[in-house]
Amino acid sequence: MSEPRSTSEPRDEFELIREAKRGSNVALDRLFRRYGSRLLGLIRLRMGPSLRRRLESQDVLQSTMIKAFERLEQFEGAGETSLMGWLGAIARNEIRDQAKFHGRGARDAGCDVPLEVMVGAAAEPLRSEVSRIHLHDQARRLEAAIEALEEPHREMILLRRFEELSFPQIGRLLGKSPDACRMLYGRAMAALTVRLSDGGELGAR
Amino acid sequence: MSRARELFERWVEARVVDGRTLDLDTLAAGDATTRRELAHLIAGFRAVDEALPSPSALDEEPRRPPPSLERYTVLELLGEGGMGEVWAAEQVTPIRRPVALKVIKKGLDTAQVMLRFESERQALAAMDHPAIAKVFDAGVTDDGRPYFAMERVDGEAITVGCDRLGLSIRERLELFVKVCDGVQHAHQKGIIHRDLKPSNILVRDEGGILQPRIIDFGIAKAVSADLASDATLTQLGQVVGTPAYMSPEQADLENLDVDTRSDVYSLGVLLFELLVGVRPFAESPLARLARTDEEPPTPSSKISSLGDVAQGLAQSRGADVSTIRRLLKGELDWVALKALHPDRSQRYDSPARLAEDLRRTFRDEPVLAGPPGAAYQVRKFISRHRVGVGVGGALVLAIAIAVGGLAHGLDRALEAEQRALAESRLSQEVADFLADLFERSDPKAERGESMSVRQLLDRGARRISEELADQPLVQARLLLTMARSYRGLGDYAEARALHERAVEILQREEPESLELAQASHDLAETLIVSGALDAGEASAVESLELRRRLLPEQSLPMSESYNQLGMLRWRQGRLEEALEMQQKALDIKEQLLGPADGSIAKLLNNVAILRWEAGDLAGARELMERGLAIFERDLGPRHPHVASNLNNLGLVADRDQDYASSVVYHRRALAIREEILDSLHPDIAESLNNLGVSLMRSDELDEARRVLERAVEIRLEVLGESHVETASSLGNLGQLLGRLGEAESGRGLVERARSVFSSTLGPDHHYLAFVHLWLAELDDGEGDLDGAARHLQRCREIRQQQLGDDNPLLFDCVAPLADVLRRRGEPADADEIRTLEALAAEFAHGD
Repeated sequence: MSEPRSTSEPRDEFELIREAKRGSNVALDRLFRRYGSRLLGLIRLRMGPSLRRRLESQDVLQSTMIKAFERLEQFEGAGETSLMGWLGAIARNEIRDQAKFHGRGARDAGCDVPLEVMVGAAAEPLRSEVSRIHLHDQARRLEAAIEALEEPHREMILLRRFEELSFPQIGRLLGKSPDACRMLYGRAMAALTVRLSDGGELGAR
Repeated sequence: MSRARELFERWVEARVVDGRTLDLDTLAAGDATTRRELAHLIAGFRAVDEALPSPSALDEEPRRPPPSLERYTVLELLGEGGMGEVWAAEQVTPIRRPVALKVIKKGLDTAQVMLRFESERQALAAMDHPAIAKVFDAGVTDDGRPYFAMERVDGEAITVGCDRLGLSIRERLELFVKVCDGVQHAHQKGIIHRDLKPSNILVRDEGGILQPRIIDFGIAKAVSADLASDATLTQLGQVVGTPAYMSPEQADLENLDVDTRSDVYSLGVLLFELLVGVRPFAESPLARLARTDEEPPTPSSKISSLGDVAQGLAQSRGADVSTIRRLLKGELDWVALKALHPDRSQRYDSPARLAEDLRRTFRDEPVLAGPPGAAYQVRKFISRHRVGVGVGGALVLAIAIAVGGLAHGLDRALEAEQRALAESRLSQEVADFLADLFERSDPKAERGESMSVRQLLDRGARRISEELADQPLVQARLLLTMARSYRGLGDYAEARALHERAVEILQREEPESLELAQASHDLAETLIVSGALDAGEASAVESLELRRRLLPEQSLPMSESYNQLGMLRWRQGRLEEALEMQQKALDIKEQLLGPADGSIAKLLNNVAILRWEAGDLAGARELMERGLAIFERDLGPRHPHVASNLNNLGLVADRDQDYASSVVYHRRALAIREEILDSLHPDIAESLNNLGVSLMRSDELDEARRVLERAVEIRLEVLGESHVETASSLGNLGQLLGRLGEAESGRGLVERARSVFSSTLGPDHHYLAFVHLWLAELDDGEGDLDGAARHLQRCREIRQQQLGDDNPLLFDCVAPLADVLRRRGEPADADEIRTLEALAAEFAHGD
């Protein structure tokens, strides 16, 4: 507390997660405000329109957040990646698992996402928080445009902008050089711009 | 693929891959259609970049993109500062020439900046002097930022150049005199620089002789007094002037505007720095105003105070410390002090005068500056004899004001020569009187004892009436000074008596003067703080009316009058009028001084509190954050004002249901207060109480309990059981105990609070609504839904009656009441529940 200015900064995300785990609704609320809609946007894009018809993106968001809570210690040890990158990786697995699960045609209401493993205190508020997150119109238009991109372009924008990975990190993930990723990212941004400009989505701002 | 698309991809690639921004015109190569399409796509890229979630790949860019402008080819980034960036560029049409482009950072109202620049354009064009870099042009970049194109000067900051070349004191003075000549030339053309500092005064080596070039003329004015967003707020010190070089009147609330003498002051700081190697003051003028007993040091004494550092500084001036000290002592000291005089009427009235005096030292002629006069000696005397630091400071302030021209407004608008003469005679008489008063031998002083401030004042007041009966204006002025000092000491009766005498004299002698307006204003202030609101109102209105006749609406005294009336309305409980008045006061000051001026912080706070009371929480918070930033900048992070501001922010955040922020604000306020106040100070209890409540709302119940118990402890000790604040803390703690499962003890505390509220505030006061709220929660916790519903109903009734139907506090009982009724599940309540829920939704939406 010796430096008042620094304490006014938004609280550190580790601390928020820890507090949320201890049952602080305030911290949970903060976390959701900070990451919820971005993560939802990412999940929807990763799922794509066809999977979205079979699977509720909000369910995936919820289970991703729950997994993240459980595995907090892993993230603190992981060091390099961003929290969004880490959440993005969990979300990818979650989408894959749930797609398989639903792919088997199981629609048994009793076999929903494993909420039970959730740390008791946070489970209930978490459910209600998830239902509050929705995408704005602008995000919807952006989503449609990103979805219409070629796969490598879309992936680039997801990794760079949604998961906040650096070009060297993306390079390692995709087995490409950072410069190649940078180049690809540039083309992706150009393509996205053209797509939105053609649709008249980007009028005078 | 179209030509524009192809070019656009090249543009994006250059930008993303190697952080370069290709020039639009070069790419389009004269094809207007392509250029238009390309510009559209580039704008689209920026929009997409902003719309995507994370803060953009541009973070990784090795450098910022150059602005793209018609008529210029942008070459490279020369530097970045608080105001924006400076780029080397080449003007292409109508003539080819190298220019420096100053691109102002985002956040200013571009149209306003251009407007102010245009108003000076003619004068700027008329400037023609070897020491002045010309400003050629101004305009707006593609992304809407104002830019200025000026002569490109390849040079270094004057202080850097002098040190690098190891210039002697004499050589530095000769260079400085050239700077003065340049500034003088600009003043003659009607241009004030407003931001003179070493980085705006570049030097070049021209055939072995350093030549100065002053840059940025006309720019500070264009960008000052304007700020559209908070983002640039913290940098404002850099934008509108650099605090270390800024004259006190730029921070002083009593002055109408900045004139050429403000540049003289900045030159004084520069002179000091060239001579000594450090600036006279370490901190901003505002921080200095808070400690008025601080005189500017003389250059020679400053260098003596620097210890080991002085050695190196002397070396870069080609001499040892004692030689430098000898060179500076006496005339150069006096010249520097005169240039740096806090009162501009005592400064050199032009850069030319300053330069002349320095040239006299070259010729070993006596300087005009001379040793410090009576006023200086009086202040020195007082600072030697002052009693308690705080009180002494107040007195010194009062005296300094008297000497320096007490009648702040003294009609600068008229500024007739005669008036100025009379004024200076008046000041001199006041100064003489004070000097005499304080220096006349005093038996106690001779015995080595210091008199108390009170004794000094009493003696002064007595002599004013005895000895000055035939000099009414001097008498009035001194009476006002004394009155302020008495007010500072808390003796309102004496202060009022002296103020009234001063007003009487001025009504007789100078009935249509700003001086009378000021005296009435001061009298009103004294009346208001002493609680005589009706009499205060009469005086305040009188002052306002008089000022309105003599001054334009947009003037600082008018702002002061509005402020005063606003505070009065506030105390009278007329909040809407209070807000209107305070807002007017704020608008004027922002207009005249800019939105981050130190003197507007309190107004920001006042308007914020009034908006908050009117239910505009977001607006309140924004203003308070601005006020906080100013206070922290000017007063340091541990000042009581900073703590009060944080406390208010905590309360607003709490009301806004942002409890996490509220806790943080209150913790910060508490930490400051614990550090600077006595451990039993009521303000500490206030912070503890507020922190406790926010912690409770954040469900941090254990800590909340510890904190609230300390609040109760201090308040019981300091304020006693029957104080409203003690009762509030008791009630809050009672509510908390209920949540912790100790309903019975909780109820006991709440009942104690209830009896204090109803006996001290009366049975209908809206504070009793809190009691019902607390009791409702206790009942609810014990499963008594009927009791809870009853108390919530009562709470709602009280608040509706006392606060009106639209007060946000109603939400606190409406929403829980709906909840309790729903849980009670009586079919008869269904309509009521619907009504309540609609109301609650309305409140929530209104936020």
